[in-house]
Amino acid sequence: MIGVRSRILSKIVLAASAVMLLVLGACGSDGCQSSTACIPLAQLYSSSTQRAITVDSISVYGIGAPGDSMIVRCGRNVSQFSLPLRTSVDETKYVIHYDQEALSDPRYNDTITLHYNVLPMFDSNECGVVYAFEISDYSCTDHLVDSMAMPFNRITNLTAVSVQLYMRTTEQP
Amino acid sequence: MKRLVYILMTVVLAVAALDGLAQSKAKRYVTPVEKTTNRTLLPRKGEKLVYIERDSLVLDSLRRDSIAKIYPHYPIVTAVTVGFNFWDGIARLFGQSYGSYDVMASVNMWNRLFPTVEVGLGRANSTPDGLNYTYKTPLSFYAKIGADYNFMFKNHPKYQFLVGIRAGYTAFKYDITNITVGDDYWGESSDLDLSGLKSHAFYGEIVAGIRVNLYGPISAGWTLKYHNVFNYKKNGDIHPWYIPGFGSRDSKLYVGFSVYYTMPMMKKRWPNIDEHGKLKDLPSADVQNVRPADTLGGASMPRRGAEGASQPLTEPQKLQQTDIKADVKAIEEKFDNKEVK
Repeated sequence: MIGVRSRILSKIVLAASAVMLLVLGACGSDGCQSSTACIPLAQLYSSSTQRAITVDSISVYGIGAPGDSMIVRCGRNVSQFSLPLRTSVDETKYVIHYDQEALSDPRYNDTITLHYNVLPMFDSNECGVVYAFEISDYSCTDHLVDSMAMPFNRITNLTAVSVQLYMRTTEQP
Repeated sequence: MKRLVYILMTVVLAVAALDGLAQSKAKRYVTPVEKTTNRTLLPRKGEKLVYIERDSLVLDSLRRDSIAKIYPHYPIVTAVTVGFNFWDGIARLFGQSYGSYDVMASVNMWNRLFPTVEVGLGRANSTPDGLNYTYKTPLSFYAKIGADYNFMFKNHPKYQFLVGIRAGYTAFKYDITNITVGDDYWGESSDLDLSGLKSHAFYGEIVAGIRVNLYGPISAGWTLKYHNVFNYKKNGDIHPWYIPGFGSRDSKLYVGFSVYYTMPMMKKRWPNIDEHGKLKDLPSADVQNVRPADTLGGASMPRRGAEGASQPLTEPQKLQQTDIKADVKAIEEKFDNKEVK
């Protein structure tokens, strides 16, 4: 009986060798499970109800973006938008332009300013190196934006809504 | 009242009769019993009692009530084994970007316990497709210490099924270079090198392995490890990805393949068993093949002692006899040679 065990053990070693060689040829990475970029996400809220809202006809762009490229171009039912940060400097400014006829004057534009430190981050082989941002200061003009809040002072690739914009709204009956 | 006295006397007599019966039965015990407790001795865990037919002409002085413990009993230092794990070398041929190469040494104690030390070097060099960096760990030293238990201790040491634990430690450096982070919206790209980062890690492993003999003192086997990092230096947000001797920091399983060279120690005290774990050249084995002539008679049956007694004992047989004599003497001393028939 014990001799049988020895023979079984030898066969297990042989079988494991074959299986492992097959596995080696077939194995691969699962890929990055999280985002490979750290981009703050802005959410619009009503200053009166504190609830998330959607806004029609707004545009958002970064000051200094090449070719006047827009983050949101005359968007409808806009509730969230991303605010990509520049990695070469420690400050980024964005403009919210209201495209409604009565508000389309640049005087009513709101400007968001973020000050931050850029921090390289490496956690896994699959996701590589990303830049995280440690927010040191932030501000926003108050034409149509009532106030601004940032619940996290650190923007990583796991962060959810990190910029809360409370818009001036009126209650409709 | 009288009736009560009769009943009491009857009960006392009955108890006395039963006690006498029990005493007479106790004298007929053939297994060793402890003098003070009358408790039948049971074999220790892992031992088994084997009933053998023993010829009175052979090994008369070794009679042990026809009960003998037959199991391989290895000396405290049965063997010393050194091994080399090179599975990561094969894996690198298939595209793995890191590898650990270690040498292990273990002492086989009683063919059960294997205190083990592993030392090795590990390195990594990875530039993943589609990603923005090169990760490098230069050759870094690591060491592990632990022990295995051989669940096939009754077999010849050529065949082992081991389960054990390890604790490992390594101190190492790593570089992340050629980092390029681009941004589509701003149209910017920045390059960065993070070099000379130092870290250390302490980790543990649960090990299961099988080893089989290939040729002579050479054997080979697979090792499967479930491991976990207990502690490591993180360097802020730049965590080490590869840990020498462990592999990828996030991995939980590791597979190794090793070749071993075994140097037998105290070989004269090894039990005389074949590679399948069967006892060979034992006097008991001889008499098992020889049926008692006085009970079975027939001319066709080999007579006791006709072969076994006439042939001179081989060296292993003599050693085995010496072992059995020592066992018998120990038992006789323990039980004062009165309770053992």
